[in-house]
Amino acid sequence: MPIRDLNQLASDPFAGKIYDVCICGAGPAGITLARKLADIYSVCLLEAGDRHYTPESQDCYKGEITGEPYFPLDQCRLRYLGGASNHWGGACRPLDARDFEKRPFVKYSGWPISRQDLDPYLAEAKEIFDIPADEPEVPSAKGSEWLPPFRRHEQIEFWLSPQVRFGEKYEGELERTPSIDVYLNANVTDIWLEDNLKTTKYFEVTDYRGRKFKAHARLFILATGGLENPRVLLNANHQLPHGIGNEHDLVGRFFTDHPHQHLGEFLLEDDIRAQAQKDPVFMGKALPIKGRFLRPSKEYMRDARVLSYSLGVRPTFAMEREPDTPFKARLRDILCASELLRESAEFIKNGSVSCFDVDGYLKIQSEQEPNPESRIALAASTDRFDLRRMDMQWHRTDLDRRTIKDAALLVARLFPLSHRGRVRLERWLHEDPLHLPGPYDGTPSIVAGPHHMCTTRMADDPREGVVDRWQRVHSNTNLYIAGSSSFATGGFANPTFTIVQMSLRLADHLKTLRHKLA
Amino acid sequence: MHQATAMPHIDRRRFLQSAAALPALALLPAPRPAPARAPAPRADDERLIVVDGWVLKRSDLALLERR
Repeated sequence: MPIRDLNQLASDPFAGKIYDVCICGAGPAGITLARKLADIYSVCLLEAGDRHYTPESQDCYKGEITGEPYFPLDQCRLRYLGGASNHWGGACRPLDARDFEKRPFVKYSGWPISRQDLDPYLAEAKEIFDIPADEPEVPSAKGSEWLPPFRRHEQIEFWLSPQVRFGEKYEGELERTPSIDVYLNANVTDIWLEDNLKTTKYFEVTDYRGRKFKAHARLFILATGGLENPRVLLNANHQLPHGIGNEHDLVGRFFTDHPHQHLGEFLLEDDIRAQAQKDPVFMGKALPIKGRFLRPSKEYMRDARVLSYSLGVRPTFAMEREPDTPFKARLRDILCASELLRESAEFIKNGSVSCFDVDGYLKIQSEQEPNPESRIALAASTDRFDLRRMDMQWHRTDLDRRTIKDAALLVARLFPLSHRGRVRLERWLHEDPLHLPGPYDGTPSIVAGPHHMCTTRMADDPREGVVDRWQRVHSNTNLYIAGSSSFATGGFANPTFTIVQMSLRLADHLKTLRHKLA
Repeated sequence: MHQATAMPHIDRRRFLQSAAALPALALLPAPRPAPARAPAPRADDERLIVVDGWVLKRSDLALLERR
């Protein structure tokens, strides 16, 4: 069935139909589920945006930020066919086994499932992301002897997808699959329940002409992303005043991202530099992402009481050329000693002048401590559909800050003490108390993924999570939440790969319910 | 012993002022639960100083003396 624009349809396409499954959101999770469920189910896939970016759709993503500074909410995600896959960077990595485990010093740690529950979907997810099947999770250590001896740290690898755009890649398949109906410009503006208030009856769908429709189904899946999923549930408050799935005030709580920080730069001693230039992984010759990446071992995390992280030791372009000859280096010192010359160069360049070439930079991508006070709530302002916009209240904890500082101090000491070189740490790392810079603090920090996770987190106990281990809303018999909002914790790995693994797992589970639907 | 890499330019006056103002180890280790006894100072910590964000060995200062 061709993908249809709801705005353009003259009649109600949902009249008289009851789909087996209705999915709200056509990003990586929604498209994956539609493709897998279409084998045996009739599927309705609703996308709020169009095939391509439109300002009218994107405007619905605007919101307020009343917690820690964050990116503008309508710039860190996209609301059209393919969702956030239309602007992601392609970095992939499954969550580590220890990310699923309970840790005594992390209060809300632990998932009701384990890494083993997602491993069966690793190969298929790699295929979806066009990642070679034989890409390992651990890079070859050969050539990495130049690195400082990070005890109780392990080298890891990030895979690189060629930035698969799910809309582009699967548009044809969606159209060719007779059991999938895709509607664009179809906004789910409410969720209506049966009289028992425990079973979903239909999604209220509104187009941009203001017309309302009812999409009936037997199973419903919300797949609109880590920020939008809780917003949809909280706004669905006509029958349940606190929103759907929010009996224990958990919808929107535990908002988790991956704090990203530029920690500083490093110089390498001459012979170490020569070794590093021959390291194929560091120089980007063996793997698509340049650099060596390390994570703390479980024992280190336990003993240092820090969260998990990826510490990136990345080369600069200076590593691809020989350093200045001694004469040029001394001449550069003279030039840089002159404030007049430096300021003139900066004026001409309209940017800062580097008075020395660093060999590399250090970046951390860390886990965020699950924190119920970090949350997505509803603002007072509304969008064109009269739905309350989002109020993001992102809050990091002392454990988040200490994790980053611990990693920074570790690397800053190891380089000189192991005769590898010298490290310069960003000024904010020297402050006490530590204040993590925001996106506009003038430091070269990305600050966050942006990766939006845990806002409808998974737990066996409905007092600790919004969805159960199968991503079904605890208080609802047929409403499921797909995507990273169902993560219980975030680990440090980019979430898209795990989003697809979990969607594949959810699809398999929903197929087992076929006899019940019949 | 590895040959130290030539250090980036450091303003001598500013360097001496900042070095004098900093404690022997300006970078403090991350807080740990209080130990039963105060630990002995780590010998390697005493060899490091911080100048303009750079974590240097005290012996790096000898490069300035050679200038």
